Amino acid sequence: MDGIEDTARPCDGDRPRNVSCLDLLSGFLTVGMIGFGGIANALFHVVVDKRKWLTAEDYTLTFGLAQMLPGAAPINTSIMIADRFQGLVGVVCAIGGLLCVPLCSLILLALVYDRFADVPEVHYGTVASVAAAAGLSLGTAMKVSVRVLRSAPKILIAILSFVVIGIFRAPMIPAMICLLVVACFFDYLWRNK
Amino acid sequence: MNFGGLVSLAVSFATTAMVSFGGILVMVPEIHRQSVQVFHWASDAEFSSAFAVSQMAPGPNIMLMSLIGWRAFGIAGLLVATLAIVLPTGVMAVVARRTDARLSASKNFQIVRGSLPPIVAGLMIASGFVTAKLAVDGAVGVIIALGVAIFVALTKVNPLIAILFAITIGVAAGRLGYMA
Repeated sequence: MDGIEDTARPCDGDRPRNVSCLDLLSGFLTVGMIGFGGIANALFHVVVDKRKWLTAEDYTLTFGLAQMLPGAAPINTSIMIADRFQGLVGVVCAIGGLLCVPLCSLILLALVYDRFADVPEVHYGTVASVAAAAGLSLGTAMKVSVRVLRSAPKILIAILSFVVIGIFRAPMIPAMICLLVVACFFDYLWRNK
Repeated sequence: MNFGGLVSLAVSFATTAMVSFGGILVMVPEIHRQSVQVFHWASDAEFSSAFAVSQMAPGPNIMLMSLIGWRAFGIAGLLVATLAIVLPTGVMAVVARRTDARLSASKNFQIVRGSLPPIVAGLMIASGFVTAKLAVDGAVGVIIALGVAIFVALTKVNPLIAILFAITIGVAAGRLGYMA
């Protein structure tokens, strides 16, 4: 590992190691193929562990920036990595590679599903997997809440967000703007009290 | 081809993506609201099956929206939906990467950024709640949802294992007549 570490260190400048468009295409093709239940884990595995395009620290920084932005963080991370090595052409290669296998298998799976939708087991399996996905959201929410909700205003904001979106089903854009304003205001009051 | 429909699809999904902090799964209530309640691209049952199918296929979670596009408008819908999610936020990502230091250093950005986490926590709970209402009719669904929630909250094991286990339980419970 020691010797390899150094040569595999990619990013001292902006575009140091030569990751070609073909590399990007094949790398992200792999990410798309092996990324079950979202691509975040597969992305790290391919980009850092297997191909060594980025160091773990570099990857974390990029992913962190992607998380600050709206949209799907793993996809934005992929876009930023591709842009770093090959600019916009690289982005097209990466996203094309990333999405082509998943989209084709999605359609195939949907067609198979339609064909067997009347089989009771398929119905049970579907209901169970949607229930499981609900549990996944709730479990992740619990994890995040324990870490994040450390003061009274934060707990209030979380409850407010839940009620506005989960119960009243308000449109997301105006709701998000209002929630952000209220959250910043609360934060301000809490800090200056 | 239903051009007006495709435009609504593009606008709806692009704007949803632009406010989706904390991942696409957090946006399930909004995607459901737009697709089922506002534009009628899918019924509740179709939305729920699209959700299940998109979870089972490999690839990013945004494919829930791709699949809704495909169900409503065929291949054109699939491409428009996918691009609507990836393109506008992707442009922002490229701009942000190329101007990284300046953006992250801006004071206002820091303030807004700092107030996001509790909102995202609330939205995640809302997402779980809305998704649960789609699936959970009867005790088995409730048990599965709570079981997976606890598993995910308490362990670091890949949640895919819990989901596969849940599907097995669901099919078994269904065969034994415990499910609607």
